[in-house]
Amino acid sequence: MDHQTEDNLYEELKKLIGEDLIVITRAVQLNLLGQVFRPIFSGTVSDVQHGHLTLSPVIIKMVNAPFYNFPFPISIPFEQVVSYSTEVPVDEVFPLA
Amino acid sequence: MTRRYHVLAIPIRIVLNSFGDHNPNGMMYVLKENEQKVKNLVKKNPFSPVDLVQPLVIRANEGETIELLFENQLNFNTGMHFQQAEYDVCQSDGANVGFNKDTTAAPGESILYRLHAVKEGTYIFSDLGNPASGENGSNSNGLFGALLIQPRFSWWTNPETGKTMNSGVYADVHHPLLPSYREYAWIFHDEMEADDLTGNRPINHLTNQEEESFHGANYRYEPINRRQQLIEEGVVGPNTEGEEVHHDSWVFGDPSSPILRGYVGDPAKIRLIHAGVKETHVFHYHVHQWLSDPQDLNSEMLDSQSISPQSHYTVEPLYGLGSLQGAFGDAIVHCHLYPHFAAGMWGLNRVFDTLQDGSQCYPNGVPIKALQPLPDRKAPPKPTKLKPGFPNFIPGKVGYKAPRPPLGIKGGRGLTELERNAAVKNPRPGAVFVDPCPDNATKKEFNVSVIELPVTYNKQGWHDPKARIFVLDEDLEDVCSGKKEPEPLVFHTTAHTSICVNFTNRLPHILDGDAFQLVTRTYETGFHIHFVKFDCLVNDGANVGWNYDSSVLPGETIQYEYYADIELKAWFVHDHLFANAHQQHGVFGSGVVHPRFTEFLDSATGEEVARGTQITTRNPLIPDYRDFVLFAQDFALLFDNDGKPLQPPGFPGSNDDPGLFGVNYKNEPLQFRLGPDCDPAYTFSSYVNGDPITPILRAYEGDSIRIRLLQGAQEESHSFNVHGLRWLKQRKNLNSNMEEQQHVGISESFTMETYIPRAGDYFWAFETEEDLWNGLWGLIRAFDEKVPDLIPLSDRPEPLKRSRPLPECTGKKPPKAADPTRIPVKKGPIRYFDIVAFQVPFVYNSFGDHDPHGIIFSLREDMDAILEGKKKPEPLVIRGNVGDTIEVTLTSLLKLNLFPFQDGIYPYPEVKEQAFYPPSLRISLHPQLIQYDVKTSGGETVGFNGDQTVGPGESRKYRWYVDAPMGACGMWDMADIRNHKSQGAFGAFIAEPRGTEHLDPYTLKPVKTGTNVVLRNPFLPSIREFVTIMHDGVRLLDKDKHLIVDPLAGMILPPPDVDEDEVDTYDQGSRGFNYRSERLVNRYRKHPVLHDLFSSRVFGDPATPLFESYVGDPVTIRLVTPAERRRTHTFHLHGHRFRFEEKNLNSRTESFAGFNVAGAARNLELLGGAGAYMGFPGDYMYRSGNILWDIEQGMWGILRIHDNIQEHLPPLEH
Amino acid sequence: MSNQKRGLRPVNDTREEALVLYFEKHIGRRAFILTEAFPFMFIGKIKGLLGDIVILDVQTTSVPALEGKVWNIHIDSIEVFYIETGTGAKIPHLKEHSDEEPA
Repeated sequence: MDHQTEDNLYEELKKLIGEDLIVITRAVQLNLLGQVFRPIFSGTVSDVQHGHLTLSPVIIKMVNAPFYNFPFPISIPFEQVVSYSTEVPVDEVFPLA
Repeated sequence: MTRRYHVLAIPIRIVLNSFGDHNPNGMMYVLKENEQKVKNLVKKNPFSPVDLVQPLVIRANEGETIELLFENQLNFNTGMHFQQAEYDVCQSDGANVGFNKDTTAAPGESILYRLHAVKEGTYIFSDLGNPASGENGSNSNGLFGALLIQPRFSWWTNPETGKTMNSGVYADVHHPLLPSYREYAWIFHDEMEADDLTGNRPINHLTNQEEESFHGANYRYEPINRRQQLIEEGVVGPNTEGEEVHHDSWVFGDPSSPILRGYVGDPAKIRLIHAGVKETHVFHYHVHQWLSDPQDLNSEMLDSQSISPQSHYTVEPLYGLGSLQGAFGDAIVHCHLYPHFAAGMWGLNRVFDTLQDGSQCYPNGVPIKALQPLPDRKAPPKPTKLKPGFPNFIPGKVGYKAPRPPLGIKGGRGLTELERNAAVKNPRPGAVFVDPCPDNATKKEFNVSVIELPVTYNKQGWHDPKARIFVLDEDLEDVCSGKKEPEPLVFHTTAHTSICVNFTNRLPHILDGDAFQLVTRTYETGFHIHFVKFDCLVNDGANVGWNYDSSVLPGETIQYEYYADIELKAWFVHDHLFANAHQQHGVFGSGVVHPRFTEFLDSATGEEVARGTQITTRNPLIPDYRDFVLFAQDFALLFDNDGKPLQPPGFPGSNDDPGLFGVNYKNEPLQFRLGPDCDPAYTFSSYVNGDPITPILRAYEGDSIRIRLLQGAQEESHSFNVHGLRWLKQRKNLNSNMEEQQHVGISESFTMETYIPRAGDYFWAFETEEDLWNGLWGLIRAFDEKVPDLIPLSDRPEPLKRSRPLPECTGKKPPKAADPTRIPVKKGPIRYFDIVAFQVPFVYNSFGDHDPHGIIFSLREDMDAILEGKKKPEPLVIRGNVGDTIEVTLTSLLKLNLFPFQDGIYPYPEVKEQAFYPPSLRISLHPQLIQYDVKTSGGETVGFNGDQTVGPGESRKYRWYVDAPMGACGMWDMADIRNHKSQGAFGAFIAEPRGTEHLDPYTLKPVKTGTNVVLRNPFLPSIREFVTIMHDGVRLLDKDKHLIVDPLAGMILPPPDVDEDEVDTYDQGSRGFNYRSERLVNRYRKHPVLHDLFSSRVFGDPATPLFESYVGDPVTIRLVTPAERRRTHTFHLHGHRFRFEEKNLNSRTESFAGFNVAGAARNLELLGGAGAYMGFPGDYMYRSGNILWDIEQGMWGILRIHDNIQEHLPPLEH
Repeated sequence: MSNQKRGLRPVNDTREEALVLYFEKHIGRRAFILTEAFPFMFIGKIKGLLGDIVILDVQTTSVPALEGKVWNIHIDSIEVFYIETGTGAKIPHLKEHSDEEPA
């Protein structure tokens, strides 16, 4: 694979493996079996590839379950990431609706 | 483009049905071009309905200007007031408000109205020249109609002829780019004068008493009383009883009420309009579903919808007529309030499967009128001898009850040849003419019976000796032997399930008579379902139009089949054959359709279950949740322990508000919960009285929950409130409003999806005064530590082992709640409010109407000024910004001698089952929608939470946190709902955006309270904020200290034989805004000219809040209804619109907000600012939409919009 | 100076390509995909790729009628996803709880 372009994001995120991260992506809302939620994912960085990162374990912040432990990891394409932070604790409570 | 209409208001005799019931004093709007024709037809047909006598419905396109020449042929001033439209309020308001020019027309005069159709939708028009309620008013007699605004570039044709048309309730609307659709105006109205052929009030042939009031649609109704008389007289329907054939066209032919005609799959819009004056109706439409907001695909799906006076909705059936499954036949459309349904408020949606060109006849020989196919759709096949199409393949016999369906009844008949020709490939029980179920759907089978047994509602032994309920067959023995407590049947399935129900009728033939009811032969029942997909001809569990009668006789079993295509919340099930006779005995239930792949567990044991009102779910993908179902009930026909009937009606068989209330067949009346010291403040405490017998919804702290809210019976609106937990109004839209209150009418279904952040007891209630008084409340109990009989949710951490015992009932006063301020505030500003509650007389208007015993919350610093009369009392409105911690210190200064009824009986406004309940000197302050710990700061003493009320001279602190800009939040006392709220113990909290300053609009100085402020924020435009608190149940004295017995005392033109008993308990009391009421009767006595009653030129400005603004100023109205009666009020603001959901840009925009009843809170941001987009200055009325009994009783005021700078009102800096 | 001006490929392209390669590497594995667009969720086996389109043999979506079919999903529109790698967590097999096996 030709990685002539340096991707600082990739390098930065690599360093965060094992750390907690909150990531927000582009969609207005997502829909799992009728349950809607804003794309706010909070969890431990378990893997970083050149096109995406993976959080595991991961909490999806839902209005009716703000600490929902998703049953398997979530991978997030870098191009969908709108913002992320390492400084929001996984158990932080904030309004979602 | 300008579109012109010439409209007349004329007197007309309105014949309401083919039995000759009529309104001799009818009034209608009509196009000039139809005037002579309609008058001639009515003259020729004095005893039969004339098609042209219908509410005027005219059309225009979005973006057009409508010039309407209005000519008044009535003998009093009338006008046309349009909702939704923008117009110059001084030229085209159709009213005479404030200092505007009078824009009503005198008798014989004309006036030109110019309206701007800014947006597609329904523009109701009605008269405001005569605002009197009752039979001397104009609205109840028919002076209303609608202007329907279509998408730009549309045109419309007559559905029968295909020719263009100028007016009519039905039209086919066409567009160069969009699909054509059938448009049906369905205009509910009530309280119209109805006389029989002899000119007297119709008499009920069974009770020999005067009939119920008129309830109908489009100037028509089809009462059971009339149809049943034909049976009694032996004309038709041998061996039938009445209610089970009320809608049966085989027996009676088609009704006079509206029949909405179309072909399978036709796109349609029902313009649902409430032009009536009084009741909140529930529109239900069989077989079909629609979105609550057609503009927002994430909005809630409905198949039943409450509607209050002068409001409207557009019902666009999903997938077109016949829904997803392509059903055909008759789908009944009706008001679900059974007494209204029986009174005649129903019609049909007739979906044909063959082409109707006018050459066919119904089975009774009546010609089927032609129906043009929509031009952009393939026409249905022509009827043939072998395939005659609906209804002519059905083997019925005219004059007799509809036939039973083929295949469905166990041991029943097969198909006739014609039926086989019409059937699907694999006809089977319940799915003969359409097949709703895909082959790969999951299959679930339930065996359900309906039985009669006694059910006890409360600890005092109030009981229904003839309760009738649905049970699963496997529970029959346990329920009948008393092993299992009877509860409404709730069974659980997942989406994509085909549901088979084997339904057995185990009821006795006879519903016995008693003080409430006459003996009724309820010999057949069905299982009618909402939401799911099914074949409406054979599987409706009803007997409708030319369909089959899909019910069964005692001992018989019928098989039904449905498909739950998507997650469908809780669908309602009930009997449709004798619903008016026995549904209030408990014949209702629900099937909850959960997300796919969900498992259902017994919350105590963790074993799989199929039914239950409280279960736990497990799902591999989404969070697990507790599922709770609550059914509200009214007309509960209960007897006390001694067999005495409780609240029997005036005579057996009367539908005039009999009986009491229940929730899941239980109630916990407050009168029985006074502790040893008789202080109402501890009524809800489990320490004093133990837990209520009503549902306690159990969970652990942090659990997700879904509350399914339904109403099982029977005629009234209820207002569901949860204290301390909020949810999204539209659960699939995150931009939707957060709410803690939901209005519900019978058959509606709502899902409140939320979670419980902290342990404690949360209060839920149907919180209007009479409901709560009679026991419609309970708890949501969130445990902090493990309890033995509640499994944890599988995806939540295991609860900690119990470290201390659970609290128990002691019979003594509850311990004081902990002081919430002992925990330091971590972050953000703290706002302190030192609030006192005391008594002071309120003067409601300049005519001297007053409440000498007012209870007010105010800042301590304002108390002296209020007591000395220097500051006028108004409800306390306090504000905080997002991020603020609010610390309230509340002090009670209540004095026993200032209460009107120290003996403990509050005689008026009354509630059912009056009882001793002495005034509490304690008080509390409960806020909605913001955050707090219910154990310390809910402002109420509930369950096993500690005491949060304060006694005289005492103070306590509450700590609240503003986590989101919720806007309007109601605030009220919870210490004594009987003696405090009517007297004014309420206010509002407004949660504003961060960084907002709150300024006095006249001085621009910062203020801490006030109903009228300017909001200034560095990132937002400055906004004028007007807080309108709508309240009722007020006890007023006049200037001579005589009690005002509203609503009747407020009628301008009372009928001669006015009967106080006709006023339901929940209509009692005076009403207004912000402790003010401009009762029109006071004005009328001074100057008896009806159309002048809103005029400030004649009377000066009203006592109700006068809100002032400049053209274009941003304005937000915070509308709060903290108190207290069950009758809902519509709020309407002339000339302006606002989004239904202020944070949802896809939201529909309207000029009304319906269902204002205890707990409602709304934020109305005026589109285009004051004066709307076109910026017209003038006096705009805000008011109730209820002609009967709100406007006359003073629920109106003025929003004054200036175009020139006024010395007293500094402009907003822009 | 931006990558393009230096004659390098934009970073966005490399990221997209890496993602395509990641899906390609896991042909034959089960994937879970959420999109903002209807029908919101896909679970199925990766059959192959067509440029930046992933070909998925779909077992489950939010709409039963769309299941048991091959769907081609634009990788740019995938909001979040998970692919079973053989070693890590598995995507649950979603079972409907029926009285009988569907015919």
